[in-house]
Amino acid sequence: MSLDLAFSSEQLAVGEAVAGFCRERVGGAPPAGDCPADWWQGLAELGVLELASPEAEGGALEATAAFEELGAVAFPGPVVEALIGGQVLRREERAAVARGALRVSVGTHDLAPFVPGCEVQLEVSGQSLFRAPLAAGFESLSSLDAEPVARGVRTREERLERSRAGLDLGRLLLAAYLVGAARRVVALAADHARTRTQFGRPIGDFQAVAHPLADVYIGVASAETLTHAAACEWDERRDEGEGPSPGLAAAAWLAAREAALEACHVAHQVMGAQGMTLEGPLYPLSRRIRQRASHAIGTATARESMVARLDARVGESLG
Amino acid sequence: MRFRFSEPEERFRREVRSFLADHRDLDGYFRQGQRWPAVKGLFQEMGARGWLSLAWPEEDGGAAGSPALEYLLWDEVAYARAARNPLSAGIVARTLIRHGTAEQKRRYLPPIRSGDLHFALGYSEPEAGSDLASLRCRAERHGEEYVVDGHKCWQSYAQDMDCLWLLCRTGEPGGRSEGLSLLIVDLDAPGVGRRDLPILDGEQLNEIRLDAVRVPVSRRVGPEGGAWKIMGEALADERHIQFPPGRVHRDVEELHAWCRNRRLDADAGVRRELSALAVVALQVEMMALRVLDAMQRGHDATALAAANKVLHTEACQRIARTALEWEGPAALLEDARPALLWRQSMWETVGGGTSEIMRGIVAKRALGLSGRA
Amino acid sequence: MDFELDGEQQAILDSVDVLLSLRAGPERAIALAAKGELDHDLARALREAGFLSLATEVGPLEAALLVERAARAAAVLDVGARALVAPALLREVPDVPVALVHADGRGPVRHAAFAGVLLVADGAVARLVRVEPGSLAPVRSGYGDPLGFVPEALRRSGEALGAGSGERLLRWWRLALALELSGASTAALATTVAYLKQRRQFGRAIGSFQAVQHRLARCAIRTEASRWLALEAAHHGAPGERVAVAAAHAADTAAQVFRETHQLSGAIGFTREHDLHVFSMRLQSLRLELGGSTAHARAITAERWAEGAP
Ligand SMILES: Cc1cc2nc3c(=O)[nH]c(=O)nc-3n(C[C@H](O)[C@H](O)[C@H](O)COP(=O)(O)OP(=O)(O)OC[C@H]3O[C@@H](n4cnc5c(N)ncnc54)[C@H](O)[C@@H]3O)c2cc1C
Repeated sequence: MSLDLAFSSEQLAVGEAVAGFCRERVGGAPPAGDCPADWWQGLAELGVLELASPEAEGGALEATAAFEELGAVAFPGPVVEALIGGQVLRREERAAVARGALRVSVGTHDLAPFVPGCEVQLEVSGQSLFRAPLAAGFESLSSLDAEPVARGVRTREERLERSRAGLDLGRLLLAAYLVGAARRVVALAADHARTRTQFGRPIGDFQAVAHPLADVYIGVASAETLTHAAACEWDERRDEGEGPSPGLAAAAWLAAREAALEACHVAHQVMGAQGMTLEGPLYPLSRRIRQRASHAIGTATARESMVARLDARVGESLG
Repeated sequence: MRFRFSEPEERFRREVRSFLADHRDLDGYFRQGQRWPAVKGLFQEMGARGWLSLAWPEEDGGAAGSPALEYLLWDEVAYARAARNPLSAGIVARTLIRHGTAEQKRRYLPPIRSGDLHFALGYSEPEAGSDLASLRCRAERHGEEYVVDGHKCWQSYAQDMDCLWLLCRTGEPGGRSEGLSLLIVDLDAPGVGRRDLPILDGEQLNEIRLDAVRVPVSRRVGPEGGAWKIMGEALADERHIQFPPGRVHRDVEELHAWCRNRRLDADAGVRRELSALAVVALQVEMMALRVLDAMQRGHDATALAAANKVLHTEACQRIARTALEWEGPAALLEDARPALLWRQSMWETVGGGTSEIMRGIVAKRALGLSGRA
Repeated sequence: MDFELDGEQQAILDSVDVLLSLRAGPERAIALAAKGELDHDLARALREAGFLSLATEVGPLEAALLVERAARAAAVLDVGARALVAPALLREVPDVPVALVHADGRGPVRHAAFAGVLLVADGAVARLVRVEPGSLAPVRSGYGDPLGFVPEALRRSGEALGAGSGERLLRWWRLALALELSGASTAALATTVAYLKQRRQFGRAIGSFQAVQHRLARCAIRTEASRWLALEAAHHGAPGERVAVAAAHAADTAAQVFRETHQLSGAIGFTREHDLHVFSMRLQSLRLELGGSTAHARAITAERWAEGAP
């Protein structure tokens, strides 16, 4: 078997099921704030919340197919975190996550997104995940896209096994989500450029509009394939939960962030005032992209693992 | 979905790699002009292994191999900095295979396959660069001969090549893409004048004047006036080997190794940029794989190939620019590696179709935007 | 605030321009570069006209205007070092070419092979080193200005110019660099714009395509800003932060101008038959001098936020 860059029919089916669900529930404009309970339940019923866990049939590729669709509608709530939980939590907890009965927050040393509302509170630090609940009396804040965040003092209870596998999965699913969202952003802007007429012609006739859109299309397309490659790599190494990060998940995350942020930048410019309205369609997507691009997983560790990857390659090939 | 090649393909890659181990210092990718005898020798060795005709049909003396094999071959050759893929075994041979007469195939394919016969690309003219269809070089038919008059420029490597793959006008002047034909012209034929055009990278291009050059009609490839379509097909056959990502990986790895030697890699800013370049190199590879995948499926890869060219060539420039900045004035010495990298990448976004033209193709084909104004 | 030149400044500039239009320019720069020569004739003409002593006789802003104009005219000469930097450090302006050297630098040095005076920045002090013009080894250069090698021993020798001189040398050097970068950027851009107005493809001038126009406009905005930042710094007597800002901006602008002018000129821009390279290659070497934009940016931080700074 040679190179094959297409999703399998099973993977496509997962994506289509999620897309159908999103069309039905989310409709045109994704809401700000946390995920409504019935949507969350719907995801659980579709099997999305257990993808890539030891119990699931589908792995990272299936999850990628699903998360691209979630990104395309800027689906709310801690979905990436649920799948991270599926890697690092205990068996009974995993089952509860899969049922939609237990939600997971992954935050920094003092910020915990989606809290209150997440029973499991994890802290990310480098390549480690800690079970580290916030002490009572935390402060409730709200973030850019009205997602709840709590600020407080954590108590580290344990470092979780399979941290690296969980974080790599998190990186590549964030990438998939961002790629899905960014594809939609580019499509919206291109659609606008084709239909909006000024100076007697569609604005897409102007190179100053068309060329930047071509550039972001290229960025998003290459980040998309890199994300798929990362998912393949993750699936191949599924059983190695620790050890150094092989690197593609980090690369996908870094590439998808950049590409998605740049796509928003260009799309807002192209769509002018229409991009600014709260009800969308562009703004809710770009706001969510900014939010996910600032995920607690951060970029510093990913960058270091890219340099480490180079170190290894250079050692190998150039002596 | 699979991001790996098959076992036989990987075996072939290893074979190519070990072959190239003996050509490590060739540096023909960047300096073909200065290394031509050695580069030609490499091509001849590759020819002897059947590697210049990997994907040709068996009846034309090829191995009917997959595009993946060709991709792997030229990716390794690029990574080793040994050479760029030659025009002769590429678009020339592919066009001859599709459209050549039996006589033309007999005459040209064997020496192309063995790496003995080489071509320069005679497309651009002083007034026809991005707008190739405006070219004026004229071939007037007189019985069984064409008489060719014209002025071509920017021909890479023509100083060492045997033949010119000439695009010229056989139809009405001003006929745009209608009325163009392809001729094979010997570069030492009477009436062919060549002038060196030194360029800033230390290599050279060429200017070629054709003054009443007589070319037998039997040297026309494909139908008279039908060149435009044929050229498009040949280009489409070649997309997977045009911009091998191995070049870019090698650039980043050299930069990284060089940073380590100079102990620059402890600097946070340097590490950040290195990591960004490593990501970009992977994106470049992904785009190349997409082109290959599309070709294997028989899909149109026009937009992907244009995207790939922009991404690849701009990555090369970014890497080289970074190298130059980190090295400072010492990079200005002629033999400094960062300077070579930089000089060799500065024209990549122009030669072979500019980034602007490529963006226009992406905008049009992938996004439905005309980008005309 | 006043961005207009006064009558005297305008008069100086007009006669500088006339002189440069007669004695400098791309064609001459190409001929000199082919021989690896410095423009001694131009030096003589500038000196006789009194322009090399503008800094002491009129003021640094006037000398700065000269340096910027000379770069625009592709003068192959140490105008920045001789007319602007040396007067800030030496009582008597040398009558020989001046090269500016960093004691810790490794690379080749502009004009060193012709220099009679080296001004070496060595930490807290600057040092003056006299050398026999022509005694330092030339380095082959594709960058417009002739380059030379300054051996380590020379970089450490010479007469110290007193307390604070090291810092003073760096400030004026940065300023000269900013002016030269800005002049060469302006000229590279002007060369390209003129070419693209005349070059036709697809039945129209290439300059009429929006992608081309917008990118050139961006370069123009940054180039203008470079010039004003540098002139303003000169007007204020080259204070550390201002010169660092001017140099950082000019170096980044140069990188962008290099990229865009070459991209938009197409194949002809890579030949030595077209004028662009006269300016663009110079931009490439100037923007690396003194550590390039990263070092200039660090200098800004150090000036503004250094411990003990107000
Ligand atoms: C190193 C090198 C090797 C080459 N080798 C060969 C060879 O072997 N054989 C051969 O035939 N040719 C060769 N070429 C020529 C090459 O194909 C042309 O340089 C290229 O097609 C661009 O043409 P041009 O240089 O005339 O630029 P122009 O067409 O004059 O373009 C100048 C600038 O304008 C932009 N521009 C043009 N049209 C538009 C538009 N519609 N919209 C927006 N921007 C536009 C271009 O993108 C470019 O930035 C080579 C060129 C180089 C640099």
